[in-house]
Amino acid sequence: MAELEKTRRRDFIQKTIYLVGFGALANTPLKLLAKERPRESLLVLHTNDWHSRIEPFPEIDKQNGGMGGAGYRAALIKSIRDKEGEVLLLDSGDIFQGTPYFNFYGGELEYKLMSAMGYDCVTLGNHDLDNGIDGIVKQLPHAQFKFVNANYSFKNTALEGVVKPYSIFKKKGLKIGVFGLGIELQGLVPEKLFGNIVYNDPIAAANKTAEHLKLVEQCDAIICLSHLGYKYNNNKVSDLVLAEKTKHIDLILGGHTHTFLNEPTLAKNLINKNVMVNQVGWAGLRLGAIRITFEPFINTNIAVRLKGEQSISIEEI
Amino acid sequence: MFLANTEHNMKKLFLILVVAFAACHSQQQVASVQSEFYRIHRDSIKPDERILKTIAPYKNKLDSAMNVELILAEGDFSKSQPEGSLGNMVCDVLMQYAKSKSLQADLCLMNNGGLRIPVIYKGQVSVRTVYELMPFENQLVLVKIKGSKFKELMQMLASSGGAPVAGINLVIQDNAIQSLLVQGQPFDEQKEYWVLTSDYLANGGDKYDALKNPIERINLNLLLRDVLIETLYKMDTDGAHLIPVIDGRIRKN
Repeated sequence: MAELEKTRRRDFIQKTIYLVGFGALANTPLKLLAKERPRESLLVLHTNDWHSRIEPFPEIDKQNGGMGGAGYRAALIKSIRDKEGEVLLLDSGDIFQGTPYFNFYGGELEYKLMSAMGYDCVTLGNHDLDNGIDGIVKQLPHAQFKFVNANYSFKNTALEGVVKPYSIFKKKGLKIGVFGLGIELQGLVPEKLFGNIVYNDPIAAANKTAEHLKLVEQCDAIICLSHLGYKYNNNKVSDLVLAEKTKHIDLILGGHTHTFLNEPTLAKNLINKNVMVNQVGWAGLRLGAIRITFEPFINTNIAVRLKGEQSISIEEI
Repeated sequence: MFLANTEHNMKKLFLILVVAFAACHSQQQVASVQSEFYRIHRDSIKPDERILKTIAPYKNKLDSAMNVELILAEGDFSKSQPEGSLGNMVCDVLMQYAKSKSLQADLCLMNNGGLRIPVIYKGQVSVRTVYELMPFENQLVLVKIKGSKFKELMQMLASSGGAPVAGINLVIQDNAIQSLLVQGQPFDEQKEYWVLTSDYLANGGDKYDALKNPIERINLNLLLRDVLIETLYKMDTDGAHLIPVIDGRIRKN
């Protein structure tokens, strides 16, 4: 893990560039990395907690005046696509609620605009349920993207079969598994709004789903869209806890706590591999851009077994 | 012996096949990750015209209703703990509404999470501002609770570091209640108290369990936001302005 470069370009493209070693390159000196032949890579763009901020903040707002706005975000995404070709565009939930656009139009415009921007996949935040399950269902005709959540059970709700545990995207010849995790709804969302949705342990759901994506679906990278929150002072499950207690997840793109991370946080997972946790604040003020570079998959499970062949009898495998 | 060996060899072969399959298979893994972010600012990029065209009809319809100015804020109102001028203003306005309707309330209690913008800036407060401050469809309710429950509520405030209130003076020390006045009178655990709050909190939201199962509950069937809009509009008609107030209603020692 090393910080390569931190550049301040024009006002709006403030980039923080940050390169970390994953996989086999984890301990490779950066000088060697630089000499590597070009590898396959994919750019992942992400947002969270848009909260219906369709328009930029008004100038009167001392902190955010003139910032955000769907028109500008769409233009930025388009300019990136023009250079980059295929990208993966994701959102970590709480698309709804926060401006009169939601009170009056119920999220119709939010979904329409995200579809126009070419979002691939989103997870559900607690506020996406502010008009109840039916409030989401009503806007589904405007959503041309996938919904993922692996730790809510939607059995016997109108979202059963709509929100799936995960979705697999094939971009630039790569296979990316994206799954979602949501926060405990009890005490946060009125019961009449979340109805029969059942919350299950996100860690168990994450491990089960990520393992399936890695070993059965054979995905090249696994991304978790989380609405759990970045970090808490108590023992509530957060993205940082999730990172440490799971394996097979490469990237956790979070939300809920409206955390502006100028640099993503690097954590070690259960098997001491790097996991990157990121969050880009809220209100569509920032667009996160994460470039994933790939190398051939080394299945550590098989590698361990092979080593064992020398010393243990084969029957024990 | 021979059979056992064959079986052994077959297992070995199977293992080699598995490994060979894994080796020629094209699955990849993450080698490295490079992260950056863009700040989205209207001065630096031209907006996407197609998106603006999509927004326009929605925006035009909204603007006529949302740009209505309600009242002048003479300073910035901000969210803060143990108390903030924004939370104080909201609770004071709600208490004023209750008073104008001859509704008895000893305490007005809101939650920090329910105020959805951190600052209302000096200048005209519009209907839009109030919508953004209170976007939820929460309604105003009155609950009558026992003194013991009221104390539980205050203890919750003390341990959480404070929430928007009106009607009390609470001094917190080491996350516990040091002193408490209600409507200027010393707190009396034997008494019953009326709390003006949102249905969200009264239903146990934000873990305010002390408000659940009250002695009495009156649903006013009014949205908090509408009450705020109506009262601010009326205050303006009466010639009032909004002035930020920090008066030590919740203090930390």
